[in-house]
Amino acid sequence: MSSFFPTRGFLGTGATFAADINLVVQLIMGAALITGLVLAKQKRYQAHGICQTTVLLLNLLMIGLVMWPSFREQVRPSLRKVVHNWYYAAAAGHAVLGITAELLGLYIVIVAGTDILPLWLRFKHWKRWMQTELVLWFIVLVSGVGTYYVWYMAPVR
Amino acid sequence: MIAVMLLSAGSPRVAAIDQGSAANAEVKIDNFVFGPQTLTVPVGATVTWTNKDDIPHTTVSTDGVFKSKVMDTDEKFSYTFTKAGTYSYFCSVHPKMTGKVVVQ
Repeated sequence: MSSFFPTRGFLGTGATFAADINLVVQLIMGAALITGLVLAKQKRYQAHGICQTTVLLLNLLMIGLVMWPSFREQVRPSLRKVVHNWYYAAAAGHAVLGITAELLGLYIVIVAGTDILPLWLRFKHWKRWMQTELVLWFIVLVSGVGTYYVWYMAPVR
Repeated sequence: MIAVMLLSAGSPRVAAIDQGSAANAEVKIDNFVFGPQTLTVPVGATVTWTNKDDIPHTTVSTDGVFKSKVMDTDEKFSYTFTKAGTYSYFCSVHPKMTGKVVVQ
């Protein structure tokens, strides 16, 4: 657990503070991505770019502060149990999807916002890539909420 | 009699070890519960927590006196209590799980 946060959570589910704050931030980021989508539809592309990039970077921070330490301490040492135990399966599935979404997002931001990559590594079908990322992100969000449920709410058994 | 049964049914699980016996005691972690939830031991006793659950848990003193690493199934953590007092602890992964060691 990260020592940046107090131990007990504030949502009343028995989760840690880090897990609760992460859940709230993730839901806010989901709403922000929808807002970003609306901005793109309104052709306010600069605002759209700032909005989606902020979410992407904030998520990177949450991965570093909350999700990765938690995964490293609790799931990685017991990866052999992934197939048999929902506790580990939910987290591992979420991690794989989440890393994919974060990397794809970073790739999109680099292509859209910089000239770092050579031409042959840059995509052309902007809408398709961004829509794929948005759909993937929401799958990750749902899997994250599912992981929270399995870890902190389902244990009352 | 019924009143005694009702009272004992509603009270938290408490265990004490004989002052004259070897100063070792065990707490089992199972189904998201520390058992016994309150343990009374003499000064110098070593308490061993064993995770019998199928998911990871920790044992962390509220006052920062002791702290285990994340324990997988059947992993153990031991701590020797050298001072009298009441030591509250919890699982840092699932803070709802709490327990207490009373050292006399």
